[in-house]
Amino acid sequence: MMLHVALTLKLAAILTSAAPVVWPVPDSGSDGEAAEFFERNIRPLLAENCFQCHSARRQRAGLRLDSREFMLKGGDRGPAVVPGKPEQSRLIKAVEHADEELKMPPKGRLKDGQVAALKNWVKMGAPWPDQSNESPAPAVQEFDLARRRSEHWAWQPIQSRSPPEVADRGWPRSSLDHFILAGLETAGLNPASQADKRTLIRRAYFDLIGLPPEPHQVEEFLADESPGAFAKVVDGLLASPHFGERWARHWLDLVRYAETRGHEFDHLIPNAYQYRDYVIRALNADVPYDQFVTEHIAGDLVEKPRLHPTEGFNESILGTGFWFLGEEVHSPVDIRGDETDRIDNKIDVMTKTFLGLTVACARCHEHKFDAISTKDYYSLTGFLLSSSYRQVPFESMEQNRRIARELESLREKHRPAIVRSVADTQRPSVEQLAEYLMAARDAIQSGVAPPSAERASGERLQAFAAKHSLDAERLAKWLDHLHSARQDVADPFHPWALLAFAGENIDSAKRAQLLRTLIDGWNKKNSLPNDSLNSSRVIVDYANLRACEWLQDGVAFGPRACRPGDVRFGSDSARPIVEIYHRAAARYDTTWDLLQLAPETERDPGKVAWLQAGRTLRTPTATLGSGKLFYLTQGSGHAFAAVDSHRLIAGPLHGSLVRSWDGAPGGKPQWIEHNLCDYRGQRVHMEFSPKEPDASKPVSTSEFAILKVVESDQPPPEPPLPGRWLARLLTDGAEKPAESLAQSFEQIFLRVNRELGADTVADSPDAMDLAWLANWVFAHPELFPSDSNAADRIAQTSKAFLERQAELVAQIKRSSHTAPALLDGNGVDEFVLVRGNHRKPGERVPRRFLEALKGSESMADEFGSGRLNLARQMTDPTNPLVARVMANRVWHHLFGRGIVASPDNFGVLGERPAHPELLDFLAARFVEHGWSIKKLIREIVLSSTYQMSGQPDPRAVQADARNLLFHHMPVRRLEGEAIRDAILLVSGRLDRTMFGPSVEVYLTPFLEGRGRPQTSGPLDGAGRRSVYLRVRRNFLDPLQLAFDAPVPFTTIGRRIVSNVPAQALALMNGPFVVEQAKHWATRVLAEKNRTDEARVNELYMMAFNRPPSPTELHDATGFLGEQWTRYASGLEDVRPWADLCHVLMNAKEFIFIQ
Amino acid sequence: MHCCRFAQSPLTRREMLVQCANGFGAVALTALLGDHAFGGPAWSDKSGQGTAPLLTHHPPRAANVIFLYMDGGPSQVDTFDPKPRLDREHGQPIKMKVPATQFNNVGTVMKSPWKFRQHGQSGIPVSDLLPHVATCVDDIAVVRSMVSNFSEHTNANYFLHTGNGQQGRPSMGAWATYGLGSESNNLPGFVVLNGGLIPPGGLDNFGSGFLPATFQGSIFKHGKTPVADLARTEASDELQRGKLALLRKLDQGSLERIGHIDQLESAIANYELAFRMQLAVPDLMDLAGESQTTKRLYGMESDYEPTRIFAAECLVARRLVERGVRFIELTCPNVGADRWDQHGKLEEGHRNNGRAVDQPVAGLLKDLKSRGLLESTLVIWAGEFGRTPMAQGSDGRDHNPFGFTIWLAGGGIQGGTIYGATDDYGYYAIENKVEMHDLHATMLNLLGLDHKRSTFRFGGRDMRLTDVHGEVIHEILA
Repeated sequence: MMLHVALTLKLAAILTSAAPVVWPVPDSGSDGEAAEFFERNIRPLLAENCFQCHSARRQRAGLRLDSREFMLKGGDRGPAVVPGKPEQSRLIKAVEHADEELKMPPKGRLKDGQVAALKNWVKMGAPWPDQSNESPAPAVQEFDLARRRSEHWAWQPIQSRSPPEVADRGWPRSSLDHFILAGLETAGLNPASQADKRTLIRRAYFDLIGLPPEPHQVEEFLADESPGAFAKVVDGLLASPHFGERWARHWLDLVRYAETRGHEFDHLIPNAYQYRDYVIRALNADVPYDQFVTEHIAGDLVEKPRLHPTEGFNESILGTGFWFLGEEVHSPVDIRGDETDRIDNKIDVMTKTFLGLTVACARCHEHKFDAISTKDYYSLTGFLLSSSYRQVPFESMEQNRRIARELESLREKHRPAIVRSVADTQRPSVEQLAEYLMAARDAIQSGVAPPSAERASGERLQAFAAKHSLDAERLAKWLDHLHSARQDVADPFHPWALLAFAGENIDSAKRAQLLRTLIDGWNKKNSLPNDSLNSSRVIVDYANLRACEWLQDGVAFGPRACRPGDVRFGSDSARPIVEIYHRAAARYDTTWDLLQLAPETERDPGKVAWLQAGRTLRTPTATLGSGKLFYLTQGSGHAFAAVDSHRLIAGPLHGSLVRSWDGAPGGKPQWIEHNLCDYRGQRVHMEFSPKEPDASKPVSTSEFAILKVVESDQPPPEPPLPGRWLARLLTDGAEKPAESLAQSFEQIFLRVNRELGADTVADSPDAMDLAWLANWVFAHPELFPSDSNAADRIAQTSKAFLERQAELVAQIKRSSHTAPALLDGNGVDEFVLVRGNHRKPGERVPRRFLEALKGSESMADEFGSGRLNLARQMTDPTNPLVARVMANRVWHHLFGRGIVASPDNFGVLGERPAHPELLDFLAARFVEHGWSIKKLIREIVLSSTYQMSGQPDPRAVQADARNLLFHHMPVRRLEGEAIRDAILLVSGRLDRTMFGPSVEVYLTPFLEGRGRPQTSGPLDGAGRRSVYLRVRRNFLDPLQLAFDAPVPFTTIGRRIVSNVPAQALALMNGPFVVEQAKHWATRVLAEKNRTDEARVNELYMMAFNRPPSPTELHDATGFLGEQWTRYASGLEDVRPWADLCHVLMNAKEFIFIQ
Repeated sequence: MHCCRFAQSPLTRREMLVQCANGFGAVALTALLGDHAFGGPAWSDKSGQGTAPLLTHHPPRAANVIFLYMDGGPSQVDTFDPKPRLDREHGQPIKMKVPATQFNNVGTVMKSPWKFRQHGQSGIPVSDLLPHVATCVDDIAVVRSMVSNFSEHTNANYFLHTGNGQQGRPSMGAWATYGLGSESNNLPGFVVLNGGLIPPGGLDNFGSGFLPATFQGSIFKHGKTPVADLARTEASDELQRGKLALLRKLDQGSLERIGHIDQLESAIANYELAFRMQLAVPDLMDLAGESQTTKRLYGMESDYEPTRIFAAECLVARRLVERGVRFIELTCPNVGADRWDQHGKLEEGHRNNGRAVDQPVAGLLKDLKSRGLLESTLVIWAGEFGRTPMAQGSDGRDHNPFGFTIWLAGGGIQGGTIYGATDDYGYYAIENKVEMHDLHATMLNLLGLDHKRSTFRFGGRDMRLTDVHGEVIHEILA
């Protein structure tokens, strides 16, 4: 190869020169020596160590190293080489292993000489000989979303067209039959004949309710010769409560339904069964599918939740439980990595289930085949980052929400009158404040002290009071108070007490100095926050909150943060106001101490073990800096810091995310430190709950408030006391005589009284001071007594209020079951994680729906996640996928194969629709008919296509062996659930009870491992339908698994139908089947005086919905005789009958439907 | 779950006819393979291979795999990776940046309680913890630079078994059986011999994931009833046969009424397979015919019960190989304390775990070799990760996925090899790092399969055991 000479300096000089030399950059070649150096030292090194991952065949981290151009362009992290500058070249940093994050080659460091050679080569300007002879790099196909969208069928709008003309006009019963028949006619094929009535009713029963018909139901159908006979059966089945059970099981496969989290200890997903019951009810109620989808995505946010028709509870929110049915790790070392895996599973399930798309494939790179970008993936993950988990008390939430609203408006309505009446009764004493202050001062200075002793004798005090025309008792109280206020700097009358005790003769300079010291003290306290919080970062301040940051589970923290001047109402008519708050805070309303869990409610495993449901305050999400958090709180409570949405706190790690504390005496605010330094740079939100009410203590112990959350290196200063008023008062009064100071006190207190009476405290700029003083007056009735009939006047004013309040409180729904559900947070967007690596965040992407369906416009919602918006876009009829995918699923379950045979993947790698027009026809009908699943099923089941027999025309089989054109109804094996349920039905042991906690897994000796339940469930699952059996991820029911029940890890819209000996062994030798066979035999023998033939006849009718053929009857009775002989027992022996029942259960006809 | 899965695909009608013609039990491997496996175009690309059925991508070196799963993570620095620095710095704080560990209770550097000695022709050092395995080092390739992606048992177990840290992927035994079928017609192709400990993550470590349930690992328990629902419940053979006879008539009637549909015929044939298995398993598990010498070799006469349990497992593993079972995984017996997961009391716990497996493993290698089976049987000894060189607390070791030791022997492996290295502490792999995907790629390679072409389409992707990774470790191949 000829090389151009571009470098003029000698290689030897380069290699020996220590001085940095800037080399001319060769464009297309290098001189011979540089080339030789490259060819001898560099190219082999690159080829051996780098090209495997960074060349034409693979581009790890988006990087190629097989040409100079690619090196300069670089990969995800930027250019690999800066010619002439090894110290700036990532390639060199990587091979030096200088950076923890970037060590290359990954399998071990290069030899020192090799590293040196590479450095030198970069220093030389990275000369690369002419590459003209090398094979050109294959053009990397650009990801073109718009083109992919336009080229693939699934993205195209639903084309509703009229059914095609057919030659055989007699065949179609339904419009959809035209599509099928037209297809067959085009291929020159005939549809199979109509199935006989026995076959048809058995098929319809299993398909619609998952149980076989009972003999009398078959007989009725056979006897009904009216043209609508089959429609009658179908309508009955659609109306049966068992319909929801059957179709819910199909649905549960999609959402990887399980009730434990798998992983090491298989912890419970508490109350997951509530979601299962929700699905059953929704399907039975035929909830429009678009609404059903909306409830899954944003059931917690819909304006008018769907209510249970009789119980009145919130159904809609239960849909959101599906997000939490996945696997969860109890103690991940890489907590953020774990989060990205959890979210990946959620996105995977969500997009496959509702859209038939594999969006999760775009986690690491643009989708390889579909019009789905990495940005699409990460914009969807933002919705989940903006939402969190809770156990929602769904049974009580609506009622309590209403009560909370009514309580709030009731309080708003009555508050002005009540506070006015309170203020009015206090005013006369406030108007005398200066007099009492002066009298008390005089008393102190004339030695009427110590007050208590003085009061005991009483004489001097009595005289003294009389002299001033004051009430002796009240004056004594003032003396008492000033006596203690002398020591208490927080007391509003502390300065007054100091001055009073300082004596008559205190000179004005000394007096001024005393006051100055006090003023300085107040000022210092009040100026502290601004200065010392500089090094702190406020994460949330409930005194200064944006509306979108007010987040809670339930209503216990009221409709908004509490402001200074807000009052707490009690239930005592003489004292309807218990407290006037002076601090802004998220304040727990102790009324909600009444809340409790319904008895068998399952609790969250792990260390977040307190009652959160309905009484939790959630902060907005923040990213941790130093990680040292301080919570300004009042009362006893718990905090849980949800870092990277990890919340299964049950292992050696992450216990520090949980913090509990006891309140300071007197409800004083205190800073609670929560050290999260291990989680720097990670996302977090806090969840605060009060400690559970302690039955042994009065309710007020659970007084609980969060004022502020800051991140700070130092403990933040004590929160400021309300003292600005006093500082002002003293400043103004420093030079004035005592009378004047007393007047100033009185003026302040009169203003407090006035503003309280006018209910304007909260609006005042010094609301905190006013509210604090108002409450102080309120808390010291001995100093500010009311007249004798004040209590009556207040009671009068508050009577109606208190009665109504009591009524409302009595209506609070205290007890509730809970269910996993979403709780909306503030809006958080995700970054594109470069190649799916969570340590490499790239560009931030706003939350939005898929670009191919809705364009790239952001739909971020300042107030929360925006999931409701997402749900609306998903279910908008212009999105062809939701309706198509569901219509196809219904078809799949009725025919054993969808029109699109890959029901969870409508993408390029999925199957093409065998009948695209039919699919669109069904999808359009589905939407037209109000998204009614039952109507869709009804239409299909009543069609001629569905009613074809299982025996195809041999010509059709030859022409279309895979039955793509649907020329007959394929024979299908029942699912494990249907087999088990059918066994229970015929044995007479089926318990048709619906809903409720799952029946625990029956533990065979083969179900082993960590997290194995302590006790086994019953062998027969208590006779309940299979849908009610507990699904434990790590202890899946062996019988169901043998019959292909899916492992719940992702969406499974199409179960595999396998054929394994475990199926035969379970039916032949499994104790469950053997036991049920005995029950069945006992049942059929219960009616006496029947011939064996009649009994055999009934068994066949029950098992197969047909009578035995004469040969079969003969075989069966013969068999009974032989077994009797083998048992060598009398005719009363049940065992031969049990054996016969057992054989019938093992017959293929029992587990296959035609 | 996981019981009695045969490797066979649902038999097609054609296959059933073949079976009937030959009588049950004479089914050729080719027939068993049918048309099920390697449905993806990449996998079934057999172009240029002539007309003879070539079932693998290249000539295989191994026909069977025995995976000795060392549950919990044996310590590399106490078994195969001697680190003198630990002796020198015993009791001192470790002089390196320590990454987050599972328990984050980091103690001081802890030396190994066992002495290392060189063994065999190759002189590979093995600690006194494993004196029997030490005698086999010339047949073993020790990989000292294994790494994993996870510090948690469950994720790491799923990763080791399935190439992915989450639940739901097919186990490597399922992949191997799916890829190659089984040569046994009355036993499952993927058998898990359960010594007593089911790994964290549960039975899903042996699952078939998105592959058909046929390829799931079948759990054979230690003890009287090795396989669920295997024994007939009838009091006598005669009673059972009477029932089966009636059943056959009934099913025959169904075929006549409904038609000879593959699905139905397969389900009927399935009962025959189940019935054969009912006979084959007791025969498999009955060790009475094994010589005293053989039993002694494995440690069946040990006075330590866990050793006897694992010895029986190893012996059954050999018998499974002889019966053509493709992939056999062994789980450890319970030694009372814990699996190889010594967060505390390392010395006692590792001693017991070592004692339980050491002689049986060595016995297995020697027995396979003497019978000429080792050449075609790949034996893998591996835990899900290793342990830290510093103590957890005072006397335990925490999880370490950054550098640990596994070994391979037999089919196509170059014995007497050491591959890769960790740093002075034995903490990080620093030379020739081997990832799980590399181990899987190597295993498939030895079985004659190209891991990149061994795919199954699921969820919009052509899935692989090795995901998008994996390089065959050619350096340890013979």
